[in-house]
Amino acid sequence: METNTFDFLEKMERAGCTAFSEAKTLAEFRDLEVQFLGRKSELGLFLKSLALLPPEERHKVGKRANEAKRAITAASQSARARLSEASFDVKSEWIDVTDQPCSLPVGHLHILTTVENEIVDIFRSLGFDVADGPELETEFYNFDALNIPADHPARDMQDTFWIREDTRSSQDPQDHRSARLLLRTHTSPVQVRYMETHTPPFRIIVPGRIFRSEATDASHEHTFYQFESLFVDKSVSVGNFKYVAELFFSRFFGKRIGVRLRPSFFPFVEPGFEFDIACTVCDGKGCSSCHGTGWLEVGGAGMVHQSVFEAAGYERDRWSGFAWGFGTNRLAMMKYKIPDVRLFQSGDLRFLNQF
Amino acid sequence: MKFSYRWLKQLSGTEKSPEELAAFLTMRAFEVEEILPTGLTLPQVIVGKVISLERHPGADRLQVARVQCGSHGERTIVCGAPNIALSNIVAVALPGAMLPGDVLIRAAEIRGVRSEGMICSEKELGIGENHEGILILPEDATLGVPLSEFWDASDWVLDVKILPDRAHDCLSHVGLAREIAALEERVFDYDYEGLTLPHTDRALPFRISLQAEKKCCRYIGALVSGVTMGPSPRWLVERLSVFGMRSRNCIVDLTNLVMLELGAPLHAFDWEKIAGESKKTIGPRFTRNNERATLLDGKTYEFNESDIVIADSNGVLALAGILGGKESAVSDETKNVFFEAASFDAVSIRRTRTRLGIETDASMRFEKDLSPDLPERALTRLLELVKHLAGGEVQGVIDERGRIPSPRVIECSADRVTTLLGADISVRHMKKILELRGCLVVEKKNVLAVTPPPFRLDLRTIADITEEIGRGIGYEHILPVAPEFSLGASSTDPLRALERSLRDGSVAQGLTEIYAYSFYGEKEARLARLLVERHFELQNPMNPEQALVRISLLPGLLDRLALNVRRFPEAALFEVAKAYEKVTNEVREHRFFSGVIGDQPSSDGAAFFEFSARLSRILNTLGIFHTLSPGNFDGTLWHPSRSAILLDRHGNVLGTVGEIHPNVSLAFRIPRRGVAFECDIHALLAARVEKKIFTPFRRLPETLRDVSFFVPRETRASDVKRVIFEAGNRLVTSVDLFDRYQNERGEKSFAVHIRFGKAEEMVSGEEADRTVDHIGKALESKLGASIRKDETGMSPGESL
Repeated sequence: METNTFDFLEKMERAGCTAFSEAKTLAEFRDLEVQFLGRKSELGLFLKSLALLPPEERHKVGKRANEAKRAITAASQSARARLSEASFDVKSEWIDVTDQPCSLPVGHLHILTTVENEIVDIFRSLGFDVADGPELETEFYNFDALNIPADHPARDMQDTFWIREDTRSSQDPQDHRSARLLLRTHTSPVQVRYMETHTPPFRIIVPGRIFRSEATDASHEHTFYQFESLFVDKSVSVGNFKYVAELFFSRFFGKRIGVRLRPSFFPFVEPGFEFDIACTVCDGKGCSSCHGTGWLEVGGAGMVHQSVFEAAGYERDRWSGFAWGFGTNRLAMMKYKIPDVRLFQSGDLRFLNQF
Repeated sequence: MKFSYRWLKQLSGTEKSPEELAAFLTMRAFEVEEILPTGLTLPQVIVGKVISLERHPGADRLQVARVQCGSHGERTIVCGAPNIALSNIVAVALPGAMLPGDVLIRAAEIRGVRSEGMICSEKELGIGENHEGILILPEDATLGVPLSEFWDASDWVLDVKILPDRAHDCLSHVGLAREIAALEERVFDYDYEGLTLPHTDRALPFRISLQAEKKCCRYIGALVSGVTMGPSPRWLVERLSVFGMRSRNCIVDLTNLVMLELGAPLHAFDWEKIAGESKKTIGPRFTRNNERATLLDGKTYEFNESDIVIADSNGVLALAGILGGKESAVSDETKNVFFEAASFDAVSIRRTRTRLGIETDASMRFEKDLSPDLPERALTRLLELVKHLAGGEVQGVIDERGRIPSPRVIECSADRVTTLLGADISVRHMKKILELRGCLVVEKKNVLAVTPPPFRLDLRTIADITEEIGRGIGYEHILPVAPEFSLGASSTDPLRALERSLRDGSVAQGLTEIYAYSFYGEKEARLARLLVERHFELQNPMNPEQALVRISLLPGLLDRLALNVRRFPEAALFEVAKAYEKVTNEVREHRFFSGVIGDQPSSDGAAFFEFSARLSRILNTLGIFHTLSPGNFDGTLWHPSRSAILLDRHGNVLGTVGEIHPNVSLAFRIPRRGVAFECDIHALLAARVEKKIFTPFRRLPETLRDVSFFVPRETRASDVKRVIFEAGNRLVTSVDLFDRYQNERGEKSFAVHIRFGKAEEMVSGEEADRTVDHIGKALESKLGASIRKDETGMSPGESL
């Protein structure tokens, strides 16, 4: 009885495996599944009948029967994979994948937005906040509060677009601050606006659009963009400014960039500097981009004038800070080799689509 | 200001070459913008030695010299100079040499003797005023070398950008030379302090009247009699010409020379032209109503009450600090000269010269606020030079002063200086730097009490002292130091964050960002149907096309679209920017997010749907949920029947999206149609659903019914949805308009999926059908719909 049983299982296993491996179609495969693995298949019925055997025999026979079932199941699975694969004629489904008939239009960020984002991200990683202020400013914030009173020669340094006199910003008649309107000539008025509502210590940057009434050419625009940075704390030094400036420019250009300071004058700082960075083209060796000097003029900086702090209501000589500003257009021109400043405002897609 | 390198070198004692000096000044004081070689290079003028000397056979006053000229051989030269002697080393102009004044030297017969060149005097070479005899050179000069190599007659003009805070002392050669010497750590040996006015006790025929004392705190007059008027010597003419100044006569030229040297503008009046008999009265005063005078430029000016003039008892002699009067000027006939040195109020000078449009070397200096100390020094120097060049006798000087501020003392803690610079500098070093700059320094326990010299008006605060010390050591010696500060996370401005997201979202939807000008012209405003009176107008625009400050970004976008559309038919542009509107004379700032697309092939409105869908994707992605609602667009740039107001969930207006009115598109030269949107970013921010909270999945399935129906052509999808919700007895959870078409007869058909659901139980088939019936009736009665009963009209109930 035992021998027969084992023979039967042996035969069943071989028959099943062979049948599956020779199956030609999915229909044939499904018939075979019923025939060899279905509940009413010989093997299925046999497995069911095991329950009737005495425990000792059931164990031995059962083990062998399960082995047979596993073998047949494995054969069926590989047959299914083989047949399913063959059922698709993928070759005949050829398409030209090099064509892109459904391409969607591609949009572009303005390069100045990209540069501004880069700059903001670097400063934010250093813990600076971003502050903002109006482009249509009052004379008070643009000049007076920055230690540039009327009739001060420093006003000649910035050609200003004035708004016709018949309109002024609204204000309290008790307020004697000049409300005469103009288009801001720098982002520095935001320093004052920020200080009016915040107390040190703080670190901010101010990106924005500014205006100078001057004729345009390849290197001059009446509308351009600036970055202002203000760092105020208990003992901020010129050395700190150098450090932050070198850190920023090195990150921005992705290589080590040295900064040098030259004496300059801005009424709202003292000492005041022009700052140059090592030429990004020749790394300071001297080339045509830097007129052989190895340096590129980038912006203005200085230690915040105590009068500016005073105007903001801070105690004199309690805080120190540096302020600096530079042209976003100029950085973009350096980094992306843009030859003409007028391209930024041109709105020409031949330019915009390149970035 | 332009500086003579040679003069600076002579005054300061610097050993630097012009290029080195320029680089040094740029790093330590002022930017040098240009170096221009000037003066004489004198090619063909060489060094020679007189090796024999004979009397000219045909002329008593001439001699014939043999001159050894090194590589140029021996030359025979006829010479008339009395001082020539054997073995003299001389300057020889060879035939072909061009001397100053365009004198070409040729070989020529002079009274029968052939002369092969010329032995030159200083004056002939243009390097001095001596024309009595030939120039005798040192004995060690190499024969045959060019004179320029040996006798350096060349100069360089340095164009130096003197900073506004130093204009009061550095717009002069002494001022800049003093700075150079201090920066090179040498004591400046120009005797500025020694320039003190001569004192006279005798009674003088004039008196100074200091009426406008607030505007002129010091006025010094000097009378010099018996001067010899005449042209200036060559060196003076040439020195002035370096600065672009034309020589007039020796007196005027000297006032200019002293101005270049010391920075104080001076003026010379013809004494006889000043009114008065035995005692003339002269001095600064405010002008009287509508006073007029003709000034040195030949023009007649009318003054107002705030202008300061120099007047005698008769009237205006000069416009104070700006320009002299034509009448009172010195001329060739002048014998007695009245010299003026004064200190005027900078703001007054600036206002007057701006109003009258007269900019002179004098006004340029006075408006920078000169030290009241300067007139005395400058006038002393001038009198000295006048005596030397024009002779005459100083009759006397009157120095009338108002209130002159006394010297300040700046208390300056050394620690504060080192902290501010971030560099270690010893107190001793600080003291030395300040003293080299003329400061008086008293040090006590690390605190410096600094008294600046009278010519340094800019030194007022610790910061100013810090700058002097910083420049003294050189900023290159201040090393980068990492700042120490309390840690704090930077905060995010939600408006800026939203603007960045809008930009990124727009780009993802295929739009390209532009930056347009903040201005346009009145013409553009009218073409775009914007109210001109709502615009702020520039007082000084670059041109009429940029005279108004924009109140909308759309004119700029339409203009740029027209520029691009031929080359890029699918151009879709956007801008995120500020705009400023005048609302009842006050400023209203807008922040707009605006976009435009153009040249859509069909005019069936598909472009509107396509572009508004892009806008909706941008907004929905950011959680700005919105609906489109019809509005009244008459008289605007929007197409009246193809534009919509964007509303948020609460009915607040976010912006407008629509076709551009075809006539406006035409005016902006946009072929076919433009579609645009303009959204208010503040409104978008307010509408944004910032924080999203999880809603549990619906436990019970919804019941779905499809309904289709014909409606009149101008029925709006928004009305259909509203009616369905209203009639849906609160069972409707969503309405999805999945099909719309218009048949040949112009009938419009809509098909909608309507889902029904309740919180606690399922909506049964019968209940759903009843509600659909009710909805159908409502659609018929409220919108004139007719429900389609064909096979697509009602779908069998299905649970989802």
